[in-house]
Amino acid sequence: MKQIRAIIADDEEALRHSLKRKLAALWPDMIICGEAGDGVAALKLAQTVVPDIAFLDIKMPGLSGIEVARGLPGACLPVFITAHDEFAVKAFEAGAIDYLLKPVIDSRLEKTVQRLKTRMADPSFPPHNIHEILDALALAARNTHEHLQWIKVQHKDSIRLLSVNEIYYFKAADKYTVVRTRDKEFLIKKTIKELAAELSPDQFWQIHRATLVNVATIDMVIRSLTGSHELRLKGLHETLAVSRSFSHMFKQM
Amino acid sequence: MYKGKIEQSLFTMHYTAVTKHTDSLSVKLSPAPWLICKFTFPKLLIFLVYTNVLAIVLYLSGFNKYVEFGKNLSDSIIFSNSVAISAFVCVYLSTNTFKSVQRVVQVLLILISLVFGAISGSIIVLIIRGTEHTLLLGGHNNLIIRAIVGNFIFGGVMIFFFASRARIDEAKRIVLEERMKLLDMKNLTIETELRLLQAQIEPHFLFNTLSNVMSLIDTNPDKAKKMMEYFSDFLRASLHIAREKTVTIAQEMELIRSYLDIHRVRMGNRLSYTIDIPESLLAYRIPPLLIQPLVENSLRHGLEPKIEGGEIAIKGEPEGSVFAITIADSGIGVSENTGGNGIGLENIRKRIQMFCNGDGDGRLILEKNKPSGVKAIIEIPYSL
Repeated sequence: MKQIRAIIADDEEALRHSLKRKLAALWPDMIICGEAGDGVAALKLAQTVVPDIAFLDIKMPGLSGIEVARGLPGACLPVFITAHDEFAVKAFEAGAIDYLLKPVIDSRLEKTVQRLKTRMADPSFPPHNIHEILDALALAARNTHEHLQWIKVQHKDSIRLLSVNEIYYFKAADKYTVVRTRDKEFLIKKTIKELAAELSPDQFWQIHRATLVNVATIDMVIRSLTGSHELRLKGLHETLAVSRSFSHMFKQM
Repeated sequence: MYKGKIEQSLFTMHYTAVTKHTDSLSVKLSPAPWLICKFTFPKLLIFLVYTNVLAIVLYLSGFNKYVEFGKNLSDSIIFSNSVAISAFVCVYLSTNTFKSVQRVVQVLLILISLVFGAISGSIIVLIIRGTEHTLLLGGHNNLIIRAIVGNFIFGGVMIFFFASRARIDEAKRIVLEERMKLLDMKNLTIETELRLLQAQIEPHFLFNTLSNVMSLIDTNPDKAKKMMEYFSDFLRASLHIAREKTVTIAQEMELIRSYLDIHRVRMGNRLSYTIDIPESLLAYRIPPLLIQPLVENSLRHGLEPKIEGGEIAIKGEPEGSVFAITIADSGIGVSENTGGNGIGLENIRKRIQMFCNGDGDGRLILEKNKPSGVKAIIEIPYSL
């Protein structure tokens, strides 16, 4: 039988050691030809040694295990090790890739070894759609949002980080844009137009050419006799004017 | 599983609370025999108005033509009032003298008082008007019989009216009381829920720790032992903290220390930390688990994703009327689209505001740390 070559990538040394020992006992034909402690090193290792199997921790510094898997050479099969069962379930549903849940239990590892053996004997492996599966997984694992989450503002000699959740509104003022939080105002250079494009449209509504308001901070909508709308915000004394072209948003509310 | 169990126990707790509540409600409301009201001075006034109206109505209806005394309006009014007042006084005295008697006895007492009131009222009329005492018992339509019949019919109606009003008021009071209790209970449930949530251990943290211990048991049992020690320290501290409304900064730091020690075993030399809180701040009280989530954020979003790791520095400083706790990491920092902790920060912010009763001096500030990473600053006024 052909010698199977594998690599292990995990940021915890103890886990790598223990997995290596367990695998040696369960699958003597397999040799571990390299270990890595972070994602970048793992990818480099995989590209140099070209293993048959890569045991990859999903949460690793540098690159995630899923990102490493996307860069694996040729027929190398990824097996994910993770404490995050939500990814594992997705990987399992995809049916192509195996996973190990932390803490790794001997009997479960044995099953994985069996599964790997059958899959390696099957010439249709890895499936042609493995990259699609990995792309879907990578998206799920990535901790970034489509929309803007943080606003960086200069305050005295430091840079404050404002979570968009704590911002009440953005309002254009000359060359700058005013960022209003519960107890302070800051100035940023981003324009209302740019912000409107980058912020989540479900969270921030444009109520005026010059104003974007955080919907969660609206206390009430006041309608004046002339039919124009004003917004009162929770815990703030000032009100925001809604221009006529945007007032349809508050009809029948 | 940990989470599931908590939810289950929370559910049972809530459920028993609700059933207990409905039981007590039905026990209090279901037996509703008529309840005698309390006879008080305002009631006497209502009584008198009613009596005089009755006297006038009787006079106008022409009924008084058939009686020997009280053919004119003034006699009729004097008669009604004296009988009504003395009846009320008798009822008042009897019900207030024998307070804790059975309801049947109370009804009997009232009936007897009405008879006594009728007799004494009639005698008073005789004294005032100076008429012959033969009218008292003699002839047809004698005063005492008229007074007794009048008292039983009209007085009875009035007492029944008061009694049913009292019953309605009592029922309303009970419902209100129960509603208050329910509100209290709801508050308590929410509070408990919050505390359990606070004490909840992040599942990934739990599994990562267990997995680390399991792999260390074979290769490095001493280190595994150490890890279990840190973990039990952490559990003990977090369980203790979860039961409190406020904790001292010292207690919170104890929890954070064990939390960071666990991570240090896992991350090795990729993590180092310092905690520097002056002695004078250690005894100040803050809401529990206010600082720990910030340390967790620093680890999760700052240091764990960074290949070379880094440092977490926790510092306490008095700053005029407030004291500041700073959690600074040298991690990868946040990019504009980094997600995942906005809600947690919002929660901390709300808890600081609640704790400071809306005092603007209590706040959470996030800054870019120099040269890299994030710095979170919590400011709490000294006066609290």
